[in-house]
Amino acid sequence: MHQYVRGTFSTQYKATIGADFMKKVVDLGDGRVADVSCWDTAGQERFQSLGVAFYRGADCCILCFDVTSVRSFENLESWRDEFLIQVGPRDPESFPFVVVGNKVDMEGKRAVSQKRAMEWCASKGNIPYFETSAKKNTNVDAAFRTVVINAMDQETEADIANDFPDPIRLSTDDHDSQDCAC
Amino acid sequence: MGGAPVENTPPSEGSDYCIVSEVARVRLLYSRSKVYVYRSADKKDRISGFICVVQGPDDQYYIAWTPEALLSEHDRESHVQVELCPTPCAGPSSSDSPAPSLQASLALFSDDDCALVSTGPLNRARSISAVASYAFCKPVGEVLSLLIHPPSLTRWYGSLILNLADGSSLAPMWFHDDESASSMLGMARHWGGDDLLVWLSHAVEIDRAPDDPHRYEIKRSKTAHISLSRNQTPAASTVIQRPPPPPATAQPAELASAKSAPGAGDILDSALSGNIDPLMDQVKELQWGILERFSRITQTVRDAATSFIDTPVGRHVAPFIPPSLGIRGRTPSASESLVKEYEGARIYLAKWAAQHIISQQHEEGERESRLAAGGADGHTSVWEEWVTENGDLGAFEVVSTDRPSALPRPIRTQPPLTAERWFAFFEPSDSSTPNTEFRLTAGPDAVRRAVFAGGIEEDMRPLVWKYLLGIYPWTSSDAERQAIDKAKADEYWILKDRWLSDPELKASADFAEQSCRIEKDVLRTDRTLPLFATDAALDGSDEANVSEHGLPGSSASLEKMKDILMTYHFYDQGELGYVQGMSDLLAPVYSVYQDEPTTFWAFAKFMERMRTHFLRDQSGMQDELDTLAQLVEIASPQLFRHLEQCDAANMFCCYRWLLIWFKREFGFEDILRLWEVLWTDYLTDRFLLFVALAILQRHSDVIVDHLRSPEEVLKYVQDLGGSIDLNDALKGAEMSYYKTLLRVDAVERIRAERSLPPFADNTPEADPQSLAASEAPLITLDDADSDSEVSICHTPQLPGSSEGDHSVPDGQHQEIALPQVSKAVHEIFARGFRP
Repeated sequence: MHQYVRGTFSTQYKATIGADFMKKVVDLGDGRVADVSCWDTAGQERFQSLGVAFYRGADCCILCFDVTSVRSFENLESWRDEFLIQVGPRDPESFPFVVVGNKVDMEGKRAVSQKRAMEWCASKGNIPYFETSAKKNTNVDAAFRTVVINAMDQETEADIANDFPDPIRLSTDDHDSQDCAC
Repeated sequence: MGGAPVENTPPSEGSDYCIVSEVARVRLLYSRSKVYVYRSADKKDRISGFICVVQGPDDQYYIAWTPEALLSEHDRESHVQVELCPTPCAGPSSSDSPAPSLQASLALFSDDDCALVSTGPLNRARSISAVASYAFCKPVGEVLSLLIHPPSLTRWYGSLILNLADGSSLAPMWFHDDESASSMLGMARHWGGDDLLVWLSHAVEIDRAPDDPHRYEIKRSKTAHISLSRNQTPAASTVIQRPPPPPATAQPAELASAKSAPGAGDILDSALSGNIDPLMDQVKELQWGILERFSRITQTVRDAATSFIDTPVGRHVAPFIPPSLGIRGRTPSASESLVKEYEGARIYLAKWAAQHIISQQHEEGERESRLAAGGADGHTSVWEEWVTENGDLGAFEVVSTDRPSALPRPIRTQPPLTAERWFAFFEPSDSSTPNTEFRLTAGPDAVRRAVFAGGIEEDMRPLVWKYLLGIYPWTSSDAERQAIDKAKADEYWILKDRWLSDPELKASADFAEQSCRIEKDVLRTDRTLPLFATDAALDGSDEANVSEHGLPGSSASLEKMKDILMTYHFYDQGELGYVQGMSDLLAPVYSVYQDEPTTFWAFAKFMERMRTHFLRDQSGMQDELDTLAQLVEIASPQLFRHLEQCDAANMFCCYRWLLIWFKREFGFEDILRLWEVLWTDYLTDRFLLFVALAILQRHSDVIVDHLRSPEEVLKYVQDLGGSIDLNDALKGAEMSYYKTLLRVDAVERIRAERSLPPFADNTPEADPQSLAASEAPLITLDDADSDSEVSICHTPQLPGSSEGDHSVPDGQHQEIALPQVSKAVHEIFARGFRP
């Protein structure tokens, strides 16, 4: 998330406590400009119940895992379910998720193959999948842009008039890889 | 102030400007930052500049746009200052020095197009002529009309196009109001285009075109050469209060028209009709015209404006990032073209306001605590304050029992505990029997009080902390303490060895996960401190860390921290284990001992009292947040009400503060001080909440005035880190404790008078009887709350009358509900003023 919002990957990061929040304006390149609020929640499952306060009103959700950790990949399911329970979207199947496999700069230690991740995403209603390296700033923009566009489209379908002034809210579940994930 | 150079400026009959060769000095009358010209649809091709109105040497008005990049630092400052404080158009006079008549060393030089650039960077200007070619400077007389498109749902920014008398049009200028200085500082009442229009309308006659609502025509009937008479020098206030003087001949009929709500087009109408423009009105009120929102800091207004300009940031007008934000030295990256970090203007504004309000309050706080300490006028009525706080909210009734209560003298005024004073605690009470066993004789309360009052000197910390944390019993003898040290050290090594030399355990998934988590967290804990900086020795050998987590290499200290946390994880296994946040709690303890066994036990003792914060179901933190919310409700009803309106009354904004005891908000030295004060449990074992309360109270005005959403509140509160004065916060916390105690006392007394249950019992395990007792009145209390009036009590009330009466508004005079006091809050004050 820091990579995306600040354009930097710093070695001075601290683990997220509670939730962090950043804002930025995203030019979608098609004439639309989105005002995006990104939430980053604490990574340890212990703090999952905190999400209630922050998930509410989210327009989209980035599920992030560490390609070098099978466990973090396996946890996606529960994070996704938990998120849907908390948000209670009108249509859970079409809620805009994006899955991000981070740390692809460490190909040698990869434990979750691209194929496996994509299969899971396909089984969950064709969730877009991105492999990123926050450290090397690979694909970070694309992942974020996709989630914003999807959220905007969802919004447009829902109700154009009412929601316009509301900012797009992004909930970033940055679990198990907060140090260098988003 | 951008005082223009005066050398080589032969004064020409009292004018404010002079001509030096081809360089003309002009008066900058009006300016607005962040007005963009788009060279293409590409965001990279947007040129940020200033639109301004200047008065040339020939007394003509010029309207100009200058790219920011072409302005010298000095000129940029002048532009911003004028933006913040525009010159009333017909008012400037050379004799009226306090009036905001600024000079800018702008140069008018004649190219093909009369471009306006600064004198300084002419060379640079030529080198970036592509940008410079968009700069223009046109006499207002040459402007035929203005085509104005305000921001709309489809266009985020409004635009302005100048149509010139020769039939040509200039490139559209886009007002990026969210970035402009005046918006950032909350002074802009209208979007930029209207702002300019309003200003211009004071100088020239402008009419809205009958056929095109977006076109505003400048009256040609007067003269193409519109001049201002500088000799006509009415005082600024006169100008403002009256219709614009001659150049803008206002129609008398319009003069009488009532002021209408300023809409996009109405603003012009009202301006033309001679109504006082709010912007001008400000100038009248405060020559330095800083927004009314800052009226609470009026005496600092001038300083504020100056200091803003004086900051390095202020000089580089562009980003408008407050120093406290700490976004510095961003490196350009691929994403920069796509996106740009920004911060909501309200948060920006809030932070900026805070810098000034807080320092002022600090002084007030000092005075208050001096008063209380002196005891001279120590009779402070808590109710008086409560009433004042709610006064502007309308309906309330003053508590008739305005009981003057003497607040106790604050004691957080002492110097840190020295070795000398510490060892005095060991002096025998009876001098005939020497304290051979070296037991503490003064008793724990004396020590707690001393530490609470001033903290501990650095060299005494390792010893005194062992008492505070409960490693040493208060009554222990020297020999016992040595035995404890020895036994605890042995025990630690055994605990550590249990996981260290268990290959099976180390191969387990749990171990791998915890080990990874601990390592990642430790490697990003306080790395800026020398103690935790990368060791040269471990940097190379720990290459894996660098690549694996993108974190700097380890150090001997960090390796010890990892082992301590891993040992703690298995020591406490089955209960908490290691939870994120603990590495933050360990680091200060480690810094004091720097020895594995002692650090471990001190940390383990600390965790005993912290464990509720880390419970899996988050119930401990929920209780902390709820209790804090209650304290805010009682101590600062107005703030609480605002937080409710912001949907932030769950106090999640303070989650990090409380979870790790402000670890991220204060510097390392301050944390040691804060924690030892908190460990004393002197006034209450929940003094942490009063520190949070005091900080929130200090920022109450800013929060109430500027923040509107839970995101804004969270961001603002989380960004306070690094800007809080610890001593101030602790003193405030002590005073907040006393004041809140008095209020709780009063509330409970009134509840008793009305035969209401003493406090709202929210605990689920409350016994059925008390639940039943509280049920009926609670329902009506909720009703009363729902009318959203802040809770106060009370007119003399017949004992036994139901609270339900209070929820019924009786005409113009609404009753206000009594706050509920939760059991948790009730218990906090169980000890009264002092133990």
